[in-house]
Amino acid sequence: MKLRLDPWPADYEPAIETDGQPASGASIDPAVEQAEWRSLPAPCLAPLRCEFVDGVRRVEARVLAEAGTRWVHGLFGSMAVGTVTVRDGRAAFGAVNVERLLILGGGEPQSWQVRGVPVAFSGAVCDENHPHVVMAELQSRMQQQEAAFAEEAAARGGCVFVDGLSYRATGHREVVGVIKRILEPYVDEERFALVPRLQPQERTPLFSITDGVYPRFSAFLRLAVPRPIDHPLAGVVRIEIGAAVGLERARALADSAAAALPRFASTTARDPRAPQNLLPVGALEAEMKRRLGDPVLIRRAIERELHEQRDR
Amino acid sequence: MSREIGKVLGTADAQPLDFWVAVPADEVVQLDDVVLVRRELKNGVTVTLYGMVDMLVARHEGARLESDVFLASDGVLPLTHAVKAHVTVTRVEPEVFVPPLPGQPVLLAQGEDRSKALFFDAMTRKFPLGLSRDGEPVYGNFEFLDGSRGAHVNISGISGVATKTTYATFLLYGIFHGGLLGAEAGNTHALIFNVKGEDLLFLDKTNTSMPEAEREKYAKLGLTPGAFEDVAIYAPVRAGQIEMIPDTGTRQQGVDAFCWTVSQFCKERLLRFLFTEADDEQSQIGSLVERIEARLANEDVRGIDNFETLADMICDRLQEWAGNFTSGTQAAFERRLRTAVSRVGHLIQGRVEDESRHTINWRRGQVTVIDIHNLNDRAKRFVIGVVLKRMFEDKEKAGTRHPLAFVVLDELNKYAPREGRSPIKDVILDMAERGRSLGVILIGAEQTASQIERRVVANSSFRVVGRLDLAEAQAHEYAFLPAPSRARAGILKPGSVIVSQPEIPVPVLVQFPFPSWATRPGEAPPLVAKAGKPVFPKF
Repeated sequence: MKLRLDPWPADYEPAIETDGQPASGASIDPAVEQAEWRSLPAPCLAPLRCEFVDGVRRVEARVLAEAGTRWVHGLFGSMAVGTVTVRDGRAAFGAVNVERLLILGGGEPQSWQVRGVPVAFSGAVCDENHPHVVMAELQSRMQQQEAAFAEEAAARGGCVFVDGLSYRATGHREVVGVIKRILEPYVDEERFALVPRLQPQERTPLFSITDGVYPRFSAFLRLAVPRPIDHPLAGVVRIEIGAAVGLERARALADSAAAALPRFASTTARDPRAPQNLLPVGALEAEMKRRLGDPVLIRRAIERELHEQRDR
Repeated sequence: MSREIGKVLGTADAQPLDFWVAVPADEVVQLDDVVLVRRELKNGVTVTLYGMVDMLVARHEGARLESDVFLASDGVLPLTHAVKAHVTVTRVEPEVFVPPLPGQPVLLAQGEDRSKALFFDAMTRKFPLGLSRDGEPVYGNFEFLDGSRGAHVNISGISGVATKTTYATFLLYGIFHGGLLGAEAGNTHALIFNVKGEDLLFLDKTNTSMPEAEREKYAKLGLTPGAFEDVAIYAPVRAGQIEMIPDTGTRQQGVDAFCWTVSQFCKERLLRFLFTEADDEQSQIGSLVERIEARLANEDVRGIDNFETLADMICDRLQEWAGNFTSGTQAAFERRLRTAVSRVGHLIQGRVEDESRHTINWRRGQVTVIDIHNLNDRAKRFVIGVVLKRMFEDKEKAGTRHPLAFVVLDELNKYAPREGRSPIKDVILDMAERGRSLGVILIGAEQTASQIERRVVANSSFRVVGRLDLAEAQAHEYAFLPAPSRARAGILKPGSVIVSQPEIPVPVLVQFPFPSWATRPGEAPPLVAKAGKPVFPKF
């Protein structure tokens, strides 16, 4: 057996998680765009206006609330969602929205004002009292906001790329979801064999996915050529487009993505998750983390506040 | 009204005496801008920190790699601009030394605030130093020039930029014509040695080439452009002529020829000024010269009608006068005296009609220009040494500081070099050290302050730097210039100098207006001058 490298650092989840076998029970139609399964070069397109939407979240502190005899799980969380707009050959940060939440696994929502630093957490409650669920609530709220941002961006026109799976909450807008990791092949082994052979600015034909979420089109495309020691799937991303936009529009969006995204591919010197973590997205993440404020400062402020409340 | 130009930066230490300011990328802040920040203390006291921008830095924020700039210009990577300005604090009012707090607004100081920042409000008597980059006047505290708290100006800068002497004369113009001297104006004198070219022989003529726009600059400084009012000009008598004609090329009219008589030479003990090579003190010649001076002072020299005869007489009696001095010293003395005959001889004459007219009187005009540019080095030293000694003695006799006497002397490195001793260096050093109490103010200039006697430079309250050679700018003598100012000294344009004065902890870059007095014949009124171009005379 020959060994090949997954180029992402081991601190991250693997970029390639599939063993080549279908994992979900989704119904796939690989011939939805065309019967012939072959690589499709992206057409030459003029540089287009595009927007990248992404979000970050951070748990400032986990908490347990006393509710009579039982304990309620909760957390102080911060999240930010923002955009980068590329237009007229210039990339610039768009709006960045920061939100802070005190999420509890039960009881009444509680708002929290931390004195000393200008930070306020608004109260939220989720249905299940479990640390993972509380955490999932924060993630879900961030994704909802990403979706809202993406919809706004789509209304402005151009091509909107949303990081991760958040596009799924966007419904029918013309938004392209960019999935950095390959979790399952979706198509059969024979067809999937095309994916490692893709060149930059080439994509597979669209295939449709029908499962419990909502019908959508998808395709693999290559951002960059991997090193010989890397796994041949390194540098491949998968895009998803809601089927509601119609096949023709989906095809155009997929072509735009195949043409545009390699340009924004990062390199290992700039981003550990290169090339999948696109340059504008990486910069936006750094900018949003900056806007979240210093975690140590916020945690200490929370601790001080708890001290003072205990004394009262 | 003072306008906000940024906020105190929080990522760099803000200190009571210096801090950084974050400046919005679209705001225009330039070096030398005068700013202030106010901090209210718990006890109700508001401390105002005044300062000056001496460094400006712009960066891409968010960029980690050098090549990120290309990605940003390709529209791939979003980066933002960050501009920060470093402020050196000039003044803290009241004197509570606290740092400004990050985030506090920094205002551009204008009007009264600017005067406070630069201590102009505390200057009871001030003289114009020039205009700052933003066209506002910059003043010097006259108390640090007139001897009450300090004295002397030292100007360094490479030659050929017409900056040093022009600036020295501009300073004099401001002092004499700015109403600063009041009733003393008539008795205050300036002595200017014209060591190069004939630039200074036209101080009494208005400059017809001065662009009209310069008038406004003079007005800002409270001055009316014009020529120096009361000017006496002396030039050495032309050699080999019976008539006493001044040895000048471009101007004869109104120029008096100067010389000394043999009798003055002997009585006033001027012989030493013929032996001014810096190394003389190492040898025995200095002592021999003094001995012979003493003899000459008592000698009847009425019959001697030129310097050559006097020199012959001295050589004839050298054996008798020299006493124990070795024959080697005597020979060296004789050799140098003989050289002096050919170089300086014409300046020492036997009989002179109308003697007082040809004797330099530094009190004859408000400004006395002594042209020595045509003389060789030895003769230049002789004239400067004799005239300064005479002036210094006159002031010593008067015993009071006022009225002041200014001396403008370029090429100080020749007359007060760092190494060795000489009679002329003694006079200049004396002036630098005691001139303050005697009211003799030296405005000295040189190319390189590093080659000047340290005490001459150290005693100058005002240090002025024109364009400097960059290697020279690194010398210890310019330690008063912060690093950015040193770098700027290398690119200063004619008409710009950096001035340091005792009260203001930051050297200030000033521009001085085009001279309103002629600096060459073409600029003087009787002749038709070319349309004024805003360039300086030597360009």
